[in-house]
Amino acid sequence: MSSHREAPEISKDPVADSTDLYAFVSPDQPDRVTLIANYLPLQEPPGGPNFYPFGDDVLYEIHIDNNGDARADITYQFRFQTKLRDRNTFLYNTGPILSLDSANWNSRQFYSVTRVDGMGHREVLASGLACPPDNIGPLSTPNYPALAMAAVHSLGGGTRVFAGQRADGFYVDLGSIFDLLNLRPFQNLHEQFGLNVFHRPARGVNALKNINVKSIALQVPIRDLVRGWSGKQRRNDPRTVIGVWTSASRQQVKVRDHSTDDDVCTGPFLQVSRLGNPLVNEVIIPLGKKDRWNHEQPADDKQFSNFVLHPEVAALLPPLYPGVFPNLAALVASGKPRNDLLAILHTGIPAGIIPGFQNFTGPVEADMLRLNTAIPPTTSNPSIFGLLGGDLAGFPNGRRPTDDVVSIELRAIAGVTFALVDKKFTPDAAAGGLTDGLTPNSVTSKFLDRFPYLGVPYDGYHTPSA
Amino acid sequence: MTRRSALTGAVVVGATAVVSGVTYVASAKTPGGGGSVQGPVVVRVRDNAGRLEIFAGTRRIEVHDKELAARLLRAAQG
Repeated sequence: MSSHREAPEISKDPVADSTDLYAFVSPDQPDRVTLIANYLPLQEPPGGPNFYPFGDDVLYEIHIDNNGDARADITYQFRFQTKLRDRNTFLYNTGPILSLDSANWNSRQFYSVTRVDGMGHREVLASGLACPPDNIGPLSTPNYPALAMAAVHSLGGGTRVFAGQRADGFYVDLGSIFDLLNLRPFQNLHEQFGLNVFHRPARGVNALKNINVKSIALQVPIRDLVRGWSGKQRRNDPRTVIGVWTSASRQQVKVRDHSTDDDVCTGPFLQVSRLGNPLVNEVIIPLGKKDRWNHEQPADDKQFSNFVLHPEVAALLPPLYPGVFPNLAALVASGKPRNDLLAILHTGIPAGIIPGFQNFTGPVEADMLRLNTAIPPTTSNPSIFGLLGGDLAGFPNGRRPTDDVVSIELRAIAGVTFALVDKKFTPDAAAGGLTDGLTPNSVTSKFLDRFPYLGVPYDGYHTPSA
Repeated sequence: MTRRSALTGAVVVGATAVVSGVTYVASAKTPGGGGSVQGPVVVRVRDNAGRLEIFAGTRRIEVHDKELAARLLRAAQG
């Protein structure tokens, strides 16, 4: 998955597990950037009576670097607190929840938002903000969209925030990818290890269909995120580019205390999860380094650059699909570093490579989602293939919820983008068509055209359906 | 309890602690800031040379106190 359960240690700690990160210029508010950090993967909608609260003991953060050093110049911190109205019932709610202050809603969560600048100055933007309930069913949450919209809070100055359950908008055919990279649309071309199981192509299957996730969504005026705001931006100006990542941290010590049923947490917060570009820790970083990657800061990512320059997936595709990727095979055999991938994932793409585009943050190699905030949103027929589809407003220029990042990264790794840095290289014909066979239509709950953009979460009564 | 687990075991010592010879070690994150000690304090005896880690609030403080380490280890042995 993009980053769902991607590393051994964090796969055992779901509430701190970041799954996806989005950063894009808002299509309906083009003077504002929307940042969405998703956590707590694979929520089966009927998962009561506790459902899926954020972690009260987790420090969730969204970081913005605006001067290219891969260190946070602005951090938004989110801390949650669960409040029970009645400890003497097993129920999440005792009647319909029609408003955020409903007396029928037993297990509620509230949160604070704190802005920290690069000098460590802290400003609490708001506290006591209500999360919406999880989507239970037609009797408990009869008008869920209205409840969720009531949980969109203004922080003043054009900034607004939402923290709560959403339909997972990431679409991916996990079953095929982790069955030895057997992409269903091309499974008849797979080597199949002599088993000869697949004889014709098949459609992709969205492994995250009807699955919910927890979103922390923030919409902030561009002027509040970039440095040197002058009122007018030029896309070639490096100051228009921001680097974004999210992290979750836990206090270093936890002592279980059954005498009070209140565990003791103390000590500094240590990072246990982070996410910038999709799929990096998932498929670029090897198993033995994944936990380490989650603990590190982007500014220290040069230690991982070799995995980007020589990605394992590029070496796997030619033997798994015999005869399909001869040019990629030759490229891998040559040992040439994949400077195209290093630019996409670790430095941003400099000006002069793609006409009218750059999201270069400088020489510091760091995994961040890089967004050129001067490029306006594509409001008419955006391409789900982002930059590869000629749409400058899509991944890897930030990431929109509908971007097909699986296909984009598969194609890039297969060699499509290497031609940008080596004019002599010709990508294999199949590379430009690689896909796991899914589109945004593979997501059942439709994306919203307004904040927080991800669809209404699936309710536990109807999902899974009878 | 093995010797190693005794040496690395955490010992809860109460709500406050007064420690001399404190060496401050920068914490990874300090969302609540530093300041006076509130809430639980947990001490970890790192080794029998007297190296202690004190976890308080959002801070980790490293202390070298051979005598205190020895007393804690004796207490840990019950």
